[in-house]
Amino acid sequence: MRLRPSMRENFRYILVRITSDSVFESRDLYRSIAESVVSLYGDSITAQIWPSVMQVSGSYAIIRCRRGLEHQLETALCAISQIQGIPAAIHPLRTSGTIRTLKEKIPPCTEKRCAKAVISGVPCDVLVSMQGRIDLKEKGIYHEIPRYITEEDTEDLYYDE
Amino acid sequence: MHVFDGCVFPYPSGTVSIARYARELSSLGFSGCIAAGMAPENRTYDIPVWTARYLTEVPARLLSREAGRAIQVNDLVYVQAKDAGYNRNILTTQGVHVMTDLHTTPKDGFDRYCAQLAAEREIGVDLSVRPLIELRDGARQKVIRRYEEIFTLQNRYEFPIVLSSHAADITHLKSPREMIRLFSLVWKDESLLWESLESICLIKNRTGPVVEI
Repeated sequence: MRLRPSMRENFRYILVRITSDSVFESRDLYRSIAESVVSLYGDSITAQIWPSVMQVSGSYAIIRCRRGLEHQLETALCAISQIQGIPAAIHPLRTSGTIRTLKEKIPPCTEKRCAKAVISGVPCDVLVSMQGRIDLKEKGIYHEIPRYITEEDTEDLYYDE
Repeated sequence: MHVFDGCVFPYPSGTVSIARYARELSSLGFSGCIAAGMAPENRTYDIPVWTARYLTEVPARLLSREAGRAIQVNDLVYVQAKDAGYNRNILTTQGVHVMTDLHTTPKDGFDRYCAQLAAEREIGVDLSVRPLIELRDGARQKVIRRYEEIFTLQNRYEFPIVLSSHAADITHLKSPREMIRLFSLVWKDESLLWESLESICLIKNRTGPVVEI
């Protein structure tokens, strides 16, 4: 049904950052958002919120909802602890009336670099991201060292060619 | 404004080093955090990190000794709550700063008298955001009801509430705004929730002898 512009729904768009070891598709993200909103508010409010994933780029995504219900959606986003069974967190960053504004706010480079680090005398394969954040690649094999560290926690750090 | 995460669990209890917690929390908007356990000496982090001894399963008769020992090496003492009798014991023990895990206590574990004691002695009541995230259905409803009871008692007796993430992994961390959003499921007064994020500074810096009213 085609509506006059004045009768169309008004939406709000939320820019979120996804914290996880994996990269997700928009449908995986939608499923976990829908599950969280239904679990918190029930079907009736979920229908009113009308959540929808507009775009996923790396660890950032833009999510749409009806205007006036963005606080409820944000709460439901905060209550997500896993996506497709993988531990993850969704951090709402900004809310806007247009997608373009949010696209401008997405940081240009968020790639991680492979490297090798020596931590407590143990050489490990690591991923280095912005501001000296270091994630160990293999989970479960290094029991004596933490999995998420910073450059200051390493004894030596050298990048792969 | 000093916005603190009330409790995080660094390695070996969790998977994250204290330096990484400090960096992540700083970028999320916190100005400090409390790490349960010991921190290496002579290290500076992106934000102030205070250490706390997290006492669990301590018999009531040993509580005083353990709390006294903890305060010599840690900045703060957190004690896990149990039944009403034990909680009253915690609240009358010298050196305890915060009582935690109230959502796991039996019904009436934190009553009017406990609230009064906490207010008089400026002992914080720690509310974790993790059960609100990780539990589902009936279990989460129960936690929301329990937290609502605590907020109702706080409204009457005005004891300090401490909001914390109880993070053991990088994905458990929440920004101050996210914590407010999640706790607004329980209590609508956002100014009280913001005050609760700052209350740990007041608890740590409490001075003077306790005066019985």
